Amino acid sequence: MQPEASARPVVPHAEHFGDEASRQNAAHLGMWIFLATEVLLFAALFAPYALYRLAYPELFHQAREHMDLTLGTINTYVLVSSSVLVALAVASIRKGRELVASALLVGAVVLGITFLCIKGMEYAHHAKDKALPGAHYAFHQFAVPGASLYFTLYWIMTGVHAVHVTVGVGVLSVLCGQTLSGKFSAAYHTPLELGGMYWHLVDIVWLFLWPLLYLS
Amino acid sequence: MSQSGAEPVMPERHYLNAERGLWSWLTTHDHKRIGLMFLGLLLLMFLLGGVYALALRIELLTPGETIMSRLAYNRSFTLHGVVMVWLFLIPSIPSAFGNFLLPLMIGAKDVAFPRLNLASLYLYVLGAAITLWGILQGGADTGWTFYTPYSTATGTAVLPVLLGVFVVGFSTILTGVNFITTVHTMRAPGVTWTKIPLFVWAIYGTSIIQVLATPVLGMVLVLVMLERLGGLGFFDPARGGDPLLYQHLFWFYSHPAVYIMILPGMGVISEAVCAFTRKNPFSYRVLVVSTVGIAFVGFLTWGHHMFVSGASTLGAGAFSVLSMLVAIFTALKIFTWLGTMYRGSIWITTPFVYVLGFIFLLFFGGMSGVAVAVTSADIHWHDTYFVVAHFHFIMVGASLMAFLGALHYWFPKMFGRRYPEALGIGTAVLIIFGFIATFLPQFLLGNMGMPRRYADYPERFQPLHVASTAGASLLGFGFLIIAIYLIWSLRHGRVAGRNPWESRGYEWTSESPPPKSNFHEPPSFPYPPHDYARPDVAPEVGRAA
Amino acid sequence: MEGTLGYGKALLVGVALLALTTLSYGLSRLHLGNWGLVVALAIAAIKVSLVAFFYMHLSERSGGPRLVFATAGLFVVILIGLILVEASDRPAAVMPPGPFSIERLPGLDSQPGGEGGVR
Repeated sequence: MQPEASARPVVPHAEHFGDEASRQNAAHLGMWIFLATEVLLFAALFAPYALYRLAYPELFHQAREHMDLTLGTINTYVLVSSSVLVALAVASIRKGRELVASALLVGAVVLGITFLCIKGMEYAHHAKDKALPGAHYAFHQFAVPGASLYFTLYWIMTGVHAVHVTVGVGVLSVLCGQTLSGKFSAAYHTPLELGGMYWHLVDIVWLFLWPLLYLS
Repeated sequence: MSQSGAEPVMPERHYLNAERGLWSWLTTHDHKRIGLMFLGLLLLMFLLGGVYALALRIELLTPGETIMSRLAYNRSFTLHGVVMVWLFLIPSIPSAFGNFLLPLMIGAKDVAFPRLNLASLYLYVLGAAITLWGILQGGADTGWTFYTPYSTATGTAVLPVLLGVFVVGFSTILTGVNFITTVHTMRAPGVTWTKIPLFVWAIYGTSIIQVLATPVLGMVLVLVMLERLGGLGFFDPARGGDPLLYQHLFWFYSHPAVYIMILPGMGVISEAVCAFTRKNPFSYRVLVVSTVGIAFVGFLTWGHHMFVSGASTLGAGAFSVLSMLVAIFTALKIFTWLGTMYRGSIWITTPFVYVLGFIFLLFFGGMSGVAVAVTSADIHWHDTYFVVAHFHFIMVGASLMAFLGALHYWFPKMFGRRYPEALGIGTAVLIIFGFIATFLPQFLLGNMGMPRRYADYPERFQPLHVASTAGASLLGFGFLIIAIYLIWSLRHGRVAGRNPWESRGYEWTSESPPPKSNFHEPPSFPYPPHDYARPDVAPEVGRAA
Repeated sequence: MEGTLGYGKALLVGVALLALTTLSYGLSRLHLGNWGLVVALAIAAIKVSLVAFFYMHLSERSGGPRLVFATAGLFVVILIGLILVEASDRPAAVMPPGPFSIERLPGLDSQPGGEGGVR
């Protein structure tokens, strides 16, 4: 058990916990279980990708040439860096440095918005080529059977991911505001840790999306 | 102990009257009130699904159109399935009884995230409302399984039904998160992992399945919605897609879902068997291992729904064997319960009659499951009434019986009152026989070749259909009687006292109905649960009497 | 707390992540064919492990969270693995694109599908 096992829970709405350690354990475990559900949610998209890759091997190979590798790679650096900033923010708040933590969170939010903008640029390029998902596909340069499938997968997988990035940006912004208003301290910063974990999950999903959709 | 000569009295302040007014209920954080609200809503949904069932059975009284058109029939069996599976069975025991009892059984004041619990309730309400709205627009006609490409192409109101199920799915995910965390972090001193009550283990296993499987359903429903809304999907063969992929993703959830529907019931049976045979479980360890085993192996069997879809024969064989493995765990449980009853001191009460019905019907339901798991045999039975009978034996004959057993076993705990025992036992027997009359003919029908989801059939099937409908009327009548006497007992039932069943379950150490904070003093449970070997008159731990 | 994440460790892990990203990009330019996918996913797995263990506090909290992480991974493997096992053995006629060749991309000379479709 953690050393703070005998301390009372430090937050309101937590009287049903016996002590602070239980509260923290419950918060972290609960968040991990929620993140596991998100992992399974994305797995339900990676499974179609795997099946269609098995069914259309050459198609997936050719599709790579129609993806914007540069923008995708830049986005990877952007998202990884934002994760680093969030980790540093949590390290800061553990030392009680609220202002530093807020600044780092602002940086992470800016990078998150940058990610979304770059993604938007990519979507715009694909839309101009008419490489749209599903029934709207009309990309003449890549018209082999099943090509629309690849792009549908691309749009849906990155689209669902982008929705999660947007939610993450919102969560980080709210946490940033709360840190600035003094809600968190070295003693209590659980929401910041949990929100940071959500952002790291969003990063993790992209770390698998990028190689599968852009690299190979 | 209530039998010490004095009349049992209702505690003065308990969770029902701790705060008054509708607002206190709508904004409560109390898991007991949330469980009760779930219970009420679930029973309403059961009524809706039951009305559809009766409509279907009336239609099937004669070949040809009896009371509804073909399209209406398709909608009816779809909505019967959707309502019964997602709006009733999946949340039934966990959201109602799990919510009420889990903290009590581990000595906690509440679940880990009480506000999230309330959110689960409201998500359920929202999802049910959206589904109802879809029903009012005519509802889907795809079957509760929404197979593509029909579900992406049909003109009926599929979208609201999908959206409603999606939202209810979130409710169950949040409940699962809450329960797992509660069991891990909020057990009272003395409640170690090997001392967790068997009902809690069942809810824990169920929650693991819910948390891992439901997101996949959520995503696949979103994909169908996207395809309907904007042609954005990838199941359409005309665009190179694979309809079997839908089936893989759907059944990855929906097969473990059936274990979500049965595991909590098995937990109820474990509790009731010990209480009403006054014996320790024949093997606590076997029951726990088989619970976790079902939860895990249940994820490996989904391909048995796709034996005739054109899937690979290697896959079919593998899934066939894996499906039979799961039955081993169920069989272990049945033998353990029977072993518990052997040489026990049996007390025939309403919950115990439901226990007997459960075990008997689960036995046949489970065996018919092993039968359809045999790939070659399933080629004959797939999409016939044989399969319909199989899963109704489990879902109604077992799962619903366990729900009714739970309702009667914990009725005194929740409301502090007794229901009329003789009426309860009589109705339970009526329901068991009504059930057999309804669904046994369906095994025969299916084997003779009657397809499922068909409103029309050859004349020679009619006698069995009529028998089945007659049984369904008995069932409906039985449910009506239960509703009447339970509602009556809420106000006029005999006061129960703290522990009318003299059960050794941890939840009975608290008052009936319990105080808002569950226990007057922090409980500690130095004895194992279900411990009837101790010679004490009644469990006095926790000083809650 | 054991192994608390301080600035130093966070930055070290960050540098590792960026380096591995560069490595992955570089290797992909070598066009390793099928092995390219394996290598890229392996590097991704290493990065994910770094993020999970250090940034998501798995190194600090033993027990529950690690079990959850492992279980989620296991079930992703089960889902994708069993689907691929089944699909790889399916008769070719039942695998997409099916027994008939798709001559033209559907939707090019007719309206895109929407709500309803075939009535």
